[in-house]
Amino acid sequence: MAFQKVDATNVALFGSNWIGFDNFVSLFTTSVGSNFGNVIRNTAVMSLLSITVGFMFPILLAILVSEVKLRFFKRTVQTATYMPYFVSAVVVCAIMKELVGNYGAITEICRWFGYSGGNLLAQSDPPTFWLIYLFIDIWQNAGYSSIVFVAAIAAIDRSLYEAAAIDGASRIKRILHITIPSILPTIVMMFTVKMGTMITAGFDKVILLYNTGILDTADTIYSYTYRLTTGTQGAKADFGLAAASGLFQSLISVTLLMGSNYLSKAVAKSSLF
Amino acid sequence: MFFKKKKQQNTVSDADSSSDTSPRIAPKPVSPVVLPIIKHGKNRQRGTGGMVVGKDLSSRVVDIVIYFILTIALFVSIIPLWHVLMASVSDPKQIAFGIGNTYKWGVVWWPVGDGLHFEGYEYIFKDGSIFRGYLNTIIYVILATGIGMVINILGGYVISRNIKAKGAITIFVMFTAMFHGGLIPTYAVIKGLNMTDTIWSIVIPGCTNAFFVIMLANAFRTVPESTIESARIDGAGHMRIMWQILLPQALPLATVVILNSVILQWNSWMNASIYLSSSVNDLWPLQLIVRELSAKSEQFIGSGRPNYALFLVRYTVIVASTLPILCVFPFFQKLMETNVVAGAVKG
Repeated sequence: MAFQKVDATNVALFGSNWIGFDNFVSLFTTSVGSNFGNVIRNTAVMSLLSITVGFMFPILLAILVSEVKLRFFKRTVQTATYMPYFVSAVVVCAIMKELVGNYGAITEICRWFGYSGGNLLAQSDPPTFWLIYLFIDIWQNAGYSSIVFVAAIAAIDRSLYEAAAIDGASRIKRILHITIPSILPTIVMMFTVKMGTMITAGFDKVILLYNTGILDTADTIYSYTYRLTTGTQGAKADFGLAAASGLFQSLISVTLLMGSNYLSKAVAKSSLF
Repeated sequence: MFFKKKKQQNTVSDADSSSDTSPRIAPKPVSPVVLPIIKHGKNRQRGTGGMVVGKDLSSRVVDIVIYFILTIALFVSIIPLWHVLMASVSDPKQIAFGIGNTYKWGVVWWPVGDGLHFEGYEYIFKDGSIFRGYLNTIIYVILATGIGMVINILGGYVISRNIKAKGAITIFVMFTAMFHGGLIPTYAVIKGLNMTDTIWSIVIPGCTNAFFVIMLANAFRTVPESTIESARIDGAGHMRIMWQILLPQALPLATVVILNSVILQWNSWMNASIYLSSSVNDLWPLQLIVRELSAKSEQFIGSGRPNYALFLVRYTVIVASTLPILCVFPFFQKLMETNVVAGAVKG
């Protein structure tokens, strides 16, 4: 369908005229609320932020939690940090809208550092929306993703730590030279899994958060397709164009998945399929 | 005990340093120095639980830093939810316009205003759509997970056995995991099947995916071949082997799949927003109703006469849709942990 001019009233697989690559050309030449170049940039930036910064938080959390000896405190922290995972995307975004709103906590914290404006979701300058998205990603997933790493750390042989301690290694040194190398295979595995799904995962939150004022920094391929499909948020429904951008996304996602699989084969000697 | 240990350590390091300062450079004498440490069997046994070495000052500092960071993480996780809960029973006028010291650091710590305000809850309960949303979501979860599991088990069984077409079928399944047609072609298919605006448009496309099938296939593969062979000799057919021999043994991973499927269905709103038009909003799942109500709440000012109960809806709808889940989740936490790990280990 990406190569057809699709009639919105008659959606069928072969019911429309073939027009070759015209949809792909107009994808890059026309602007539907935001132009496609920006859309690709936003998708790339947000994916990269979540796979680098967002990926480090669960590991850090797992290491810190594993260092705690007080069982009660450990359980409390773990329970509290998992909790956001059980809150659905719709609700998470509704809560976030509160936090970055005019009186919200995040807006308030930004004001301590010299920010003087209202609702952060109304700010269209580049990093704002990306950082909000990153924050949601971390808030919702860090605790849950840390489970795997906590389990990996728990499986490390305790005698290694003892031996290191007897040899005079400090706590930090023990973490750096025992904990991290020991869980490295797990880290590599989770990283490749995350890389394979990064282009599609979690972008429904963008649709729940953005507004027509900040499309230039907020729109992603996923939400762009959605807007063209449903004809909402400043776009007119155009099924041919939406199919083209959907196909574009699928191609990137296949490439990433293949790439990450190749990487995990090369590095971790194990592959997804 | 503890003191002794420390002394030993000192003596060991003394011995170590003395051997270092001695003119002999040959590496051989080092090993007798290392051995005594390992030989102290008593201490080693005692130390299986924790560190053998006592806490010196730097270790204390590290402890304090760790506790501090984790406490912050704890609060960051909880405060947003707490804020919403408190705001949902506050005076809407104060919340809406930030009158007085409603917000401290941007958070409503305690209900503000005189007494508790329940108009927000009254509004959504009178509206009633949230109950319908709950009912619909539960129906979708049960149907999708049920149908999905049947497909997963059948598919997983086929892939896990050594049959001729195994490679072709595996590629066929994995292809769907890698390549998505995209929103529009999927929509065209659903519409072509006349499933739009019916519950099947939610249940059927969302009931399973390639990863679930592959996961179950991996689980079946762990069952020893001899078990299956002996069952076959005893006269068991494919169905009996699948459901009565393999499934009980693959139960841990099967629960992982079920759990993931339930969470997926519970959170999903996108399919419903595309396939179920607003003419059939009595079929909408909970998440879509939450989205609708909070969007409505953002336009509470209306025609010059603000409906403040409607303003509170943005908080109450969050509480009403999330609190039940958060009350149930501690019971699943243990299951969740073991499952996530099991799921990750299979690689």
